[in-house]
Amino acid sequence: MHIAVIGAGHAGIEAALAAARLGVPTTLFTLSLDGAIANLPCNPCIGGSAKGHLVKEIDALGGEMAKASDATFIQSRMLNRGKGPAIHSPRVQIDRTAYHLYMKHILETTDNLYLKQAEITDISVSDGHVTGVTTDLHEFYACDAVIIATGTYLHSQTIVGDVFTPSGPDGIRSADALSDSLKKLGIPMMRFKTGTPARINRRSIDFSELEEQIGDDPITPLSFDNADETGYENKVICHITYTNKNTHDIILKNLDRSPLYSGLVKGVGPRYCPSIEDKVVRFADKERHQFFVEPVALDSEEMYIQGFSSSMPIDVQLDMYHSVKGLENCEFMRPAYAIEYDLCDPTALLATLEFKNIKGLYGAGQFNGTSGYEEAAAQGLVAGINAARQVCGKEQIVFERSGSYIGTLIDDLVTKGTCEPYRMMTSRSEYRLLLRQDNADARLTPLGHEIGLVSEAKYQRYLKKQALIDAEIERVQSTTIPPSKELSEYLVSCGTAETVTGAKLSDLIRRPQLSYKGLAPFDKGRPTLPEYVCEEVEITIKYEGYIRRQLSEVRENSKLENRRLPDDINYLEISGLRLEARQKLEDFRPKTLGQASRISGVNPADISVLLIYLETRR
Amino acid sequence: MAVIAAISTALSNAAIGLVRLSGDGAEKIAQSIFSSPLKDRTAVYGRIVGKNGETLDTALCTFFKGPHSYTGEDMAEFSCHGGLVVLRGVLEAVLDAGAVPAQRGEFTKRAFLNGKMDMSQSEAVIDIITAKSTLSAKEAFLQAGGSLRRVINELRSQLLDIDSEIMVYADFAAEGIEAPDATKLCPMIEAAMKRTEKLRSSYGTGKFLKEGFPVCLCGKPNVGKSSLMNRLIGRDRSIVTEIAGTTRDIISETIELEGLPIILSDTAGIHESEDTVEKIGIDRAKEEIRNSALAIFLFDASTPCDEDDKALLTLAGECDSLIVANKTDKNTVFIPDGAILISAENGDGMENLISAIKEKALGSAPMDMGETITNLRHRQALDKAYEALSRAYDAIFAGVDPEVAELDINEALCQLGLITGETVSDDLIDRIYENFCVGK
Repeated sequence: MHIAVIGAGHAGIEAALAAARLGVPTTLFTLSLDGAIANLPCNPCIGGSAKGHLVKEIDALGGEMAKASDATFIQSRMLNRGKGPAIHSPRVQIDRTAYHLYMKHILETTDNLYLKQAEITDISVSDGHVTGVTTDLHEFYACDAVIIATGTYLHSQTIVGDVFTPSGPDGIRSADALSDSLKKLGIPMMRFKTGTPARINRRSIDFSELEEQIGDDPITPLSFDNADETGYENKVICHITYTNKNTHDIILKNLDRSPLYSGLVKGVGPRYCPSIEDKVVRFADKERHQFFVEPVALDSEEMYIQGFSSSMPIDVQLDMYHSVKGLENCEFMRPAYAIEYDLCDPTALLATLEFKNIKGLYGAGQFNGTSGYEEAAAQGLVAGINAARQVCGKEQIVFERSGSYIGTLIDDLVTKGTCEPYRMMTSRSEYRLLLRQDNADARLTPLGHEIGLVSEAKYQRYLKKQALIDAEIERVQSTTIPPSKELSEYLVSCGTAETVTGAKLSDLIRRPQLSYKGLAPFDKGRPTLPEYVCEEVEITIKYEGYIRRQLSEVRENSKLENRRLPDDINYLEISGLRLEARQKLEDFRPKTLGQASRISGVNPADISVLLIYLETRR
Repeated sequence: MAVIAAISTALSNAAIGLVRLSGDGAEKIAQSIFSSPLKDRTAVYGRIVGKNGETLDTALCTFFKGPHSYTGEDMAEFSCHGGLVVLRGVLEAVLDAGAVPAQRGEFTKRAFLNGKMDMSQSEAVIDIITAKSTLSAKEAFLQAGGSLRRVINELRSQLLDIDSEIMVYADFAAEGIEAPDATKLCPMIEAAMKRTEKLRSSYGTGKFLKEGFPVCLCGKPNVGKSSLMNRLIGRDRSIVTEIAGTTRDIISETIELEGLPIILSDTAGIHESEDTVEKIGIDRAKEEIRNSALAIFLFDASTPCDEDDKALLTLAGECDSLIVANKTDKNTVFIPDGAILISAENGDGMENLISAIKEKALGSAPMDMGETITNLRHRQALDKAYEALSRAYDAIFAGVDPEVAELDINEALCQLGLITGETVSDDLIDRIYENFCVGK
């Protein structure tokens, strides 16, 4: 019994930890023990809109990312805090060096886990089942399952202006042989592009010209395990600054020297993090573009310039950066660069992240077409769980769209595919009021416990929290606030109607102008409860109507969603189906009607045909 | 799939009748009963031959090679001489040659299954089949051409604008994008609501186009209601006598006024009667007024105004009505205010009356025919979309977080998707196929 994980980035780490913790001996291969473990080669930040939700979900299932972030962050903010709780998103600035060391040590000290520096050059398959991996030193490791989590290292090349270098991020070599081996196995491959801004020396920046961005106080930890911990503090201040007309002129004047515009780069880049060239060209009427100056580690002077990525030649980059207020004399430590890499077409995967045509072979992370550390970690966790379960002869687990962002992410990838690096967004989920970051534990911890990744202690903490929430909701629903002069004055001051007869506490909380916290002085019997319990109580009561509607939608959709498509359907012979749909369905072989309905090229009429076909087969 | 066949024109003694076949093998079956060689997309003249070699009819046969046909399959169409005997004979010959009788709506169902049309198109086709007049057919045809889809898609894109306005700040929180507030969102939602309202309120008109516009004729006994009805229908239908109160039952008829289907009811004369039989007739007439979209109050211009006339004018003021003064061919002594003057006897003033009825049916504003809803399911979806939008409006106006109220905007979008068939549920499919009728 043995699992191999290729790559020790965010996907590979979660995959290897999950598999090893589930009791399966697991070897984790990395190109560099020093540079490539839990590296944050782009933004030294974890969380943000929707990504923060993923981190909480990973934690709820027993993953490592949130704990590592809590241990190594240097600034923490809850994004959208001033807005509705459904879209609160935690985001932390990470000490890049500390994060790497933390994860490396966790890997080194986990039972069943063997961390090795080696390049995997070949994957062996026999009778449609993976049998092992071969290293660049011609060592063969026999395995029952292999998880590919190669990130941006397959056939990668970095691009600065017209200088193309065959290399992965941070000077670590690219892995070319493995990409060729995968092609030979018949795995459909694609090529993507992404980019990153320059790092500059803190001492060369004039901070007096920059706006400050400070962290939260108090801080909400990412891991549910640390919910009751206090003493977290921000260690750095980030800064905001802007491009100006001069910057834009420099960019426009040199567009012909950008490999993106000259057509030298063929890979598809992500729309949501465009290079500064793209921003200036596409939003020509915008007078300035905001960007952020963020420290990458406590014991380093390197500063990450978020929002200023580019693949211009280095001399143009310097002119661009120097045109910005506060950066006039900045010194580059690493230039901005673009990177191209090979990846698999994720539609070749099942929702378990196993390849459809090779038993025991799994894909995770950027290799599957995503972007971002959090998206990678989420998939790594799922691939690790399923690989371990397969080796142990247990049933595979599919995460549902209605239950998690993890499920939404994977379903999108494997049924729709992607033509750019896929980033998680809240608007991708049709159930986003149910899938909040605060209730990730309620949604997933029981499952994590059942799988065996959630410790008994964590599970008990979760049960206790739920009990507190349930009791407080019940109390709030049965509490009536008597009328009083003070209450009336308070209600009027909040801009809502006063009450002469008194009101149910829950009815008051439901009013948009009022909050659970604000009503505390009138709620005499209120117990002292942790902040996260109060938050859940407020959300549950305030949005009760909306939440109930979403839940009934989930139930309704589950009829279509869970209608299983038999494995033996020959789609090519269903005469009612359009030709494109026949081909797509035959290629994808969806497991459920719900999944079929989301495949691009399968239209509603085709789903009707399938429904009719299933009826006639009965 | 088996070759299906059906008589595709109405089973009446019309001049021409159509027998249609569809499915793999339609060509072989059609050829086996036809004397001339078939040609793709060409009408060929020949004899239809029965199984004993007898000539059933001389006819045109047009063959369509799939997928370039209505159903997407091989199809053959026999244009025969009308008459039930002939058509049934041809159908029997086709069935003898190996075709099977088509189920209700099966041609359109096959067209749908072969991806030849989307749901709004196939529903519009059903409407073409059941259209009661030429104007309705045009409406249904415009929908089949995707005009409904265009309007819905425009509304959809309006809603997507609102939705994206809200979701962008949820998704790009770190970039400091300002959340849109009620002052920005409410007018946007209101505009979408107006558009939805316009579309859904066209259902009344659209429904009239499809099912007929109900009009009842009321008036005292013997003012000429039956004569007017006969004039509108163009033949004797009601009993016209000189004795007051001849028409005790409501007689209704569907007629076509310049392309508009009208369900016209002739009611018993209304007046304060002591006669119990007639009293029942009057009660039924009043009920008929309630059930109609328009009541035509007919007065006798040749007799002086009496108490009954005054009571009727009051009644006319309480419903959607036209006041018509009849018998202008005689000596006129009583013309009510705003009355349309006619003579049912010699046809004077009928054009004015007909255009007044049409105006009432279609609404006074000229109508964009494409933006009319004729299908109850569409109306229901638009109603739900409207409700969702108004919930979103109220919530945002009251200060609920836009990203929560957004759920209702999303709901409205899903409802619109139901019209063009973008979302599919088992129940919906069942219902559509129930409503299909055989060989259009």
